Amino acid sequence: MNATLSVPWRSRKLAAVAAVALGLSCATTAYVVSQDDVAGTEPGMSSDFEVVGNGDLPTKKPALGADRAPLSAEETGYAISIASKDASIPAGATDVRGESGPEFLYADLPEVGAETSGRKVVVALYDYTTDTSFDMLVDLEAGKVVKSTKSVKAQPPTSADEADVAMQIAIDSTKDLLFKSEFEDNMGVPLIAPDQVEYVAGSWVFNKTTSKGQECGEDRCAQLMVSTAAGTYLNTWDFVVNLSTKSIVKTQ
Amino acid sequence: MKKGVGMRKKSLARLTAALAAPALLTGGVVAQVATASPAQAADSPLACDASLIEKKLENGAEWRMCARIHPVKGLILEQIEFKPATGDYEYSGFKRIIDQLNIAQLNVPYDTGHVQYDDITSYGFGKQYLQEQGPEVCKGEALPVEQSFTYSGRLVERTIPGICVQEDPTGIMTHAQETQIGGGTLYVDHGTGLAVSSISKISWYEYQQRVVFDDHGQIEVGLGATGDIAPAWASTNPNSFFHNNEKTGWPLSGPSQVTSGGSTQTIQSYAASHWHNAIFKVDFGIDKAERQVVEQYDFSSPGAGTRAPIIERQKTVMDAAFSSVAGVDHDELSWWRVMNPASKNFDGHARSYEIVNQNYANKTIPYTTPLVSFTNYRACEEYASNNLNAGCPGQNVLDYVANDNHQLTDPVAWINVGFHHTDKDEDQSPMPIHWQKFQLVPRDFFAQKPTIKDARKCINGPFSSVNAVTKPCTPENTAAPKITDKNDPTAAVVPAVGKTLTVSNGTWRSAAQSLTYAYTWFRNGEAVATGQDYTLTEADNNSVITAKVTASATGFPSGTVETAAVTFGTPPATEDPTDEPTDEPTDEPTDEPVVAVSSTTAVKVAAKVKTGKAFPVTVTVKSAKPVTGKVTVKFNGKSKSVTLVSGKGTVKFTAPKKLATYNVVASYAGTDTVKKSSKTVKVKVVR
Ligand SMILES: [Cu+2]
Repeated sequence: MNATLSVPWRSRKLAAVAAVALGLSCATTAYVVSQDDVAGTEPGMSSDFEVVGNGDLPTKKPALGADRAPLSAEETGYAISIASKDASIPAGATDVRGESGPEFLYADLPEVGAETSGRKVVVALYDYTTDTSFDMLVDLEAGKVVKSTKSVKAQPPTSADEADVAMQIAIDSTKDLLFKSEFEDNMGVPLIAPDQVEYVAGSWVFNKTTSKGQECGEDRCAQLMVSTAAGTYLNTWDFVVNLSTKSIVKTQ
Repeated sequence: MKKGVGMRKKSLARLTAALAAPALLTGGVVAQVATASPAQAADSPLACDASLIEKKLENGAEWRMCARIHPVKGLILEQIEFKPATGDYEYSGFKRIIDQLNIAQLNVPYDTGHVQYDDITSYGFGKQYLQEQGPEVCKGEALPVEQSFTYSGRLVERTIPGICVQEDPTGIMTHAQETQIGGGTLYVDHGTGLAVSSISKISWYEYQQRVVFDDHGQIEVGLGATGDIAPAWASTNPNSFFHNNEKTGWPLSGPSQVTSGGSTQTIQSYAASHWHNAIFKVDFGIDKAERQVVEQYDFSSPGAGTRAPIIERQKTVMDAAFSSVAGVDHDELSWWRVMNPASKNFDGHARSYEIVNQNYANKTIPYTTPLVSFTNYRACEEYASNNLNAGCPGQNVLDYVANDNHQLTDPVAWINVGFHHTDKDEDQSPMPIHWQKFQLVPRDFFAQKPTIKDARKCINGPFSSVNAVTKPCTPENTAAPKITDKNDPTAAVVPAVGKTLTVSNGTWRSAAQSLTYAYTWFRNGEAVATGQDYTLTEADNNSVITAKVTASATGFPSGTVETAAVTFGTPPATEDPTDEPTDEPTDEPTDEPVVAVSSTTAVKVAAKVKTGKAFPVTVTVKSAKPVTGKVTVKFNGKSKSVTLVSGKGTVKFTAPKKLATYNVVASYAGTDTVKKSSKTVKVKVVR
């Protein structure tokens, strides 16, 4: 059985099971495709992400595609590893869980209009120590960063890890959050663990339409969208999670 | 209809990966290493391997582009190029239209005022939000999409069918009856389009991005919303998706019971109305232009004509980045086009694409107020609001316009396709898809309809300019002529010496020409007589008789077609009695058309002029043939004309109060023998 990792926009129960499976088979190879999980074989089925190899980022240059070909997982992994270790990233950089190294947000080709040539990748990273986002232009052929741009304002969509952390902060909070009382009113039990709900989290920046939350934009904040196992959405518009300070911001 | 996606090149590594997962190739997708056909060799290939889509539609038109799923933007289409069904008749190979096309923001504010979502910059249409194109979803061919990121410090990946490519019927494209009353020939075409789509789920809403490339070169960009309307329990709190404020929603179902603070009450709840503010980014690259021009066209009436209102068109060349707000900068008749002045069709008209955007802009939010904005391409400007690029973070399209002080030559259009959704009973789970769309329509990209038939090629402009030389209309036979017995046309022909045969004209597409017919009779393939009637003689015994009918119009190539044979006795076995009918043109026109030669316009004016002072503008028009007529010079909203003497003319303007750099545009209208030309220079007004 291949290792399968359900990421947290699906039920956390599944993810917990997957994590166990992952522990049992860490020697899987790249491009493992479990036929059961192949798209379209069963309508409505989840399509899981799987760990590539042992999950380590490739440090050796993989086979490179044409300039405008979509990135392979190996190319993406290689680009992340080069970008994260670049000298322009502060030595004390941390991710959303406080661990060393920046948070990876996304990677893709530079825009075609930017008229780059060769196999280039833009890797978006976030350093929680300095609350700074980085766009790293990586030259895969040369194996190095050719341009590093930083900003304290850019807030790309959250990573799956950031969504997990945001959900845990919301559940642990002692603040009166509408969705928690709504959950209890309608489900008859209190919400005490992320695996009771499904969720996604969007990055959130203050746009003057709320009375509070001015810090979001320079701080990294996330807005949760939470639903019950039955697919019923809970009202989560009254707060956002400040991931930089690990706290709840009531936006009204 | 379901031909394989023409050419999909894969590197060996990626091909191996695909083969390891054969079940991925759903809906008839077969990944192949294909070699370029000779026609494609003329074009430089698009180097995008697995994301290459190249498809020949039913009518022979071809599209190619690179399509992939960006983690934030979702479906992103690059290097979009078209080859018309008429092929080299318009131009050789593929021609570029757009460098990049993608959604740049999807802002969803609820009318309750309690929440708004930025589905692109907060969530994105890629990553886990991308939905699978399984066979129950994609009825065409699903392309595999490989996605990867890190999770808990580990690199994870999945490859799912994520982009659907299919050829869909688009209905009747042309229906033209040649005669007023019917009974003439009918030109009817059913069109198809190449639909490239993906689906992304952001909580309750599920969006289909669907771009249709039709067989006439038109592009329709659509965003469909399905899934579910915002679900919630009924609430007495106005800050809720099912609230109690009639004004900001619509009642779905009857009253419901609401319990809060221990007490229960019955209320009618209202599902919150909301906007879907979608802004698309279109980076134009008309024929890979070095310089493109954006024009706005407005229409107004100066008053009544003799029998109908007069409507006049006004062109404005948009020199700088701009945002256009309905009712302020344009009205409902206005439109824009992006033109490559250096790329001309065979009529000498510059190739362009017109933006057709019949949608509403949400004027309650500043950056969604303009219906369209244009800026010069700048790599850091990726999203219409909350820009994510660290080079110009947090900015929106209004910032981009304000910060752009260059002449508009490398245009990116930010096309705002708003939709205000007042929920209704029928929108309940699952919600039927609702669409917001705009079109990009070729305007003079082709000299004629890009599917034009031979029989209509001469029709180009008014009949007085029917082009018999380079675009001849050859009469096309649609029903063959027939030989009958002259005295008894309804009876079967029984050949006998002395019997008179007659031949009908058959039916021809005359292409608006008045045709005359000529008839030639053949005995065993040898011409023996002319005229519509033919009387059989002794010599015709034991032979096959046929007739050829030639349809002609003065000045045009003729069409000739042969009847079925009439057999008289026992013809010699060696002869082949049925020559293939020929519809080859039989006479080659020799008239040379009058060809206008090109001209160049040069403008001499001081680089700096003093405010309030008059200054001269001297225009010189040069051409291989004598230059006559007038030149018009525009400056600061004023327009002056002067008749050229030896190709030269001078006008004077007064420098205005506002200290700025102005354009001086000189336009020579041309004559029958000399083509028009124009020149724009800058003049700076100083103190
Ligand atoms: Cu809606």
